[in-house]
Amino acid sequence: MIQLKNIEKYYNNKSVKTFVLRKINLEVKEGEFISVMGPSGSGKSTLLHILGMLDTASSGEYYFLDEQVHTMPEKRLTGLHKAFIGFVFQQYHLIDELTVYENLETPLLYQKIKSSERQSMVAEILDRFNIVAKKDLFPFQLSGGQQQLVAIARAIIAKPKLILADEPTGNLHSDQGKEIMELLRSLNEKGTTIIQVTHSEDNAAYGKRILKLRDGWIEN
Amino acid sequence: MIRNYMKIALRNLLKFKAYSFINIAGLAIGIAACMMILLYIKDELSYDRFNEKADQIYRVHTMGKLAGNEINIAVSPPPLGETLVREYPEVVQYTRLMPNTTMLIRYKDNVFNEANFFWADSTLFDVFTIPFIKGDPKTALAQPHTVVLTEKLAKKYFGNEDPIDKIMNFEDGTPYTVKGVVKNCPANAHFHYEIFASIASLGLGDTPFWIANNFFTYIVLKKGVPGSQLEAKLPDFVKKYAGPQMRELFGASYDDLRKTGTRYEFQMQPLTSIHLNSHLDYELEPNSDIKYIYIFSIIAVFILLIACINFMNLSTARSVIRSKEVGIRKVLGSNKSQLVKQFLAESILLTLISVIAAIALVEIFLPSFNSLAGKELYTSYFNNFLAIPALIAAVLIVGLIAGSYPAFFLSSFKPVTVLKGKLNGSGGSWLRSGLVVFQFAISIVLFIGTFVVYGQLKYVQQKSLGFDRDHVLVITRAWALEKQNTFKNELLNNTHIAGASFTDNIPGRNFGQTVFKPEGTSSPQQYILAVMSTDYDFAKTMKLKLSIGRFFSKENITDSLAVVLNESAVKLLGITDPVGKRIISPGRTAEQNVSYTIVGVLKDFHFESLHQKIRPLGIFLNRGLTAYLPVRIGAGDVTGSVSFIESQWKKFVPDKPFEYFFMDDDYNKLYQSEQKTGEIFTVFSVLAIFIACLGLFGLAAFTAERRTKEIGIRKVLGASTPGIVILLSREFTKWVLLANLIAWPLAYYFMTNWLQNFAYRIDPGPGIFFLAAVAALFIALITVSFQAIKVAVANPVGALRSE
Repeated sequence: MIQLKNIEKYYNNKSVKTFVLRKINLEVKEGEFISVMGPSGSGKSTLLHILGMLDTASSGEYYFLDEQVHTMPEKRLTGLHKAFIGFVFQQYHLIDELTVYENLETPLLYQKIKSSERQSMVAEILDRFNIVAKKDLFPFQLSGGQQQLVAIARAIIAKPKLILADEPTGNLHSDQGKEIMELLRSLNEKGTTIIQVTHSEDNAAYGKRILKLRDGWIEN
Repeated sequence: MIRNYMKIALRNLLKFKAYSFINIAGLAIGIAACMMILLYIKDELSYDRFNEKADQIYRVHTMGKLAGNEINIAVSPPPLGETLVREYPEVVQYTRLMPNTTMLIRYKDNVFNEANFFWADSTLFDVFTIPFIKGDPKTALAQPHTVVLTEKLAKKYFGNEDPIDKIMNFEDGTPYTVKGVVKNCPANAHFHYEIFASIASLGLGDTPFWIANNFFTYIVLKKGVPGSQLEAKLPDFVKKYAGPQMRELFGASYDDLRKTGTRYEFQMQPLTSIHLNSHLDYELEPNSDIKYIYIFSIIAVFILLIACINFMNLSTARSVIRSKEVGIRKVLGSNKSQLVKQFLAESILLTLISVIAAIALVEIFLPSFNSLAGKELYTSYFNNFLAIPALIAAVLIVGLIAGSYPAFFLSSFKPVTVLKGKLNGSGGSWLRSGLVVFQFAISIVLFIGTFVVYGQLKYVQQKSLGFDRDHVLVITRAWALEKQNTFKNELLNNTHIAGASFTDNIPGRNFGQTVFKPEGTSSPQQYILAVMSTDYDFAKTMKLKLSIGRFFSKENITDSLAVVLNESAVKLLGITDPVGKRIISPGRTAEQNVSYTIVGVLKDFHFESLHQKIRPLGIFLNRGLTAYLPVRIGAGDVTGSVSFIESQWKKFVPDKPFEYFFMDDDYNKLYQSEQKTGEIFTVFSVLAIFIACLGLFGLAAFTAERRTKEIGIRKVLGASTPGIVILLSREFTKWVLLANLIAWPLAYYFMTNWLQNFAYRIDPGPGIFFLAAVAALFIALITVSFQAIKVAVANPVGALRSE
């Protein structure tokens, strides 16, 4: 599904290159659950952002479903990313001014899904995540765990093939964290590919494969 | 999708109430100010357009240089109109108007003094669109001693009676028959009529006199014939008709006169451009000026721009708040153009709310604006098919202008950056500072403009005019008195009356002029002097100062052939040691020459407005009509003196109304148009500054908010409250100072230009500029420090904990 060849990311700082990622070669098959680990500053999040097409690599090749992402124009990129990828963040990143229902609806609006279909999709996901009662609440009225639940629901509502999770449990206490991890595992079992970044060994253990990064290099 | 956008927009509006208020209030005030200015401009541009033939009507006026004097007068010779029609087939009709200062008219017991009185040709109604209610426009003014009244006047004299064929008596007792009633005069006309009397009544006959100018001549050209085409033929026309008379008068042929610099021309003004573009002498009414239309348009645009800039600045300053949403939306699949659309939709929504608020503001403040501008403007959103689309267009345009920069700025955020919280809100701060500098530069220009206008108006009102116009009551129509001297003596017996003098004219009014030459020169050169006629006490009553010689006196019987000149006249005539010398008023033949002995020279005084240089003036003894009786009221009880004078009048002429004005009021009317524009200018300058400050206030709030943590740390490290206020105000101070540098040259250019309207003017010295700088800085600092102090006195612990 994903192929990275010699991906590098660096910033030019007064003509000195500061590397974030070095010669990353990675293949991700459909249905995988990968945990990316490593100390702060090792390039985990950058890798995730490049995978999610929120950031571009400085050099190297990136193939997503056999398409060349590294040469793709911005518009196609947005299209690809909104059709196939869902994001989960440590800080949840719900839109504060929208209710739970409206937050869930937003990605569907960008995919130009019809109103009636949208309604049923949102209703289905609310039901599946057991948050029907919360649909008219605003994010600040929810606990952290509930917000992350909504964020995951929003990430998967358009049925993406790939979920990218950047420390999804980082802001939660352990019970809530566990709940979220179980949820990701069950999504993976139903066929969604998941790549998560995490600090915790426990959470990393949910993944089927662990990728360790250090100073931008993949450790073997 | 759009519903989603609107929902977010509305929730954002409600969530940040202060910010929304600043934005909406600023825009609403800006738009309301713009709407009022537009109404004003629309009205000014509509002058005389109600005439069906508006585009074919021209006024022919006289320009040139006669006997060394420039003449630019709105009037023209009596036979002009008729001759033009006879001579040129493209001139289809003409009419003449001659105003009468006032006319006392009587019908039974109703006696009124009518100010808006005109003698007019019977063709008047073929030229101007003056709808008849009763009577026949074809014949109404055809006969001598006929009049046409407006509805209003008909009602005043005749109540509910039918006015047609009723007889009214003019002051001299002549009966005039009412032959028509017309609709009231529209406000947007360059002259305002109440009553027309047939010119035929004046019994002028066919006076083919081409050098005397006392009629306003209007002609109608054939449709599609440009005025310039006829104007090109007029030089030959002048030569043909006026040439022979000029030879008679000046003793040289038309062509020879032209060689020596004499010019005599007729020029054509399109009717619709008179109100804004005509600034001749002897206008029917003081006209407005196209310059003011430009100035007000610019002010309108600037006010709107300032309000739009507020919106841009506040939106981009708040980008930190919105950036997270932008990041999330991009992650969720939004592309840039969708975000641009969203933010534009938001600014359009905000503008829509502002426009609705602006409409309300206009409804509330239009009456005050009307009384300020002396207009009768009104809004009609539903009667005018353009009004609603124009408002919608305004919403879209203003929304797009105000929203464009923020939309592109916000939508270009990289999701990775904003979601990591790396955005520090300094984005676009360079542009933001630039826009604030721009806002303040405009405001300072307006400030300086206001100061200069007020400085000049104060100057013209306080400048010593060479005579004392305070406490002078002027009785008009003094000719009604049969025993003038007895009346005057009665007044002077009262100790409160310091002086009185019968005159044919008073300072501040239009002065006639006559040709003279000094005695004993062989040169044919003649000079034009403004002339007036007074009795012995004029100099004393007006407190005029003599330079040399004396004023008229009763002891000198020969004074009936004496003249008192002003210094400018002496200089023009080139007479040295003038007292005892003579000047000649040339007649048609040498035998008809009249010579006057110069008995005194007055120091120059401003008998006309300060717009003009002091003209050469000659004063003669009791030669003209005694139209006015200026009475100087001495110290003490003015009201009592007025009622004393009135009671005397009643005693002498019980059947004529007592009418008077105060000379200082009358003289100040010369600056009415400047006064009015000055006031409007001030109001909008204040508004502009207010809106700019509103924006500054919001911006300062956000800057302070952004630096809360920094300020907390500084306080923990020992910074004092004043130190922090200075820290936060420093940036804004810099901007305002920079704005001054931009504003000063602009303001200097505009204001010296405006001051050219006055022959006597102030010098806009550095004081005014400095004052504007201090005022702007002071206002800006108050605005900013309000926020700065709030932050500076806050407990640093709270600020640091919030991180």
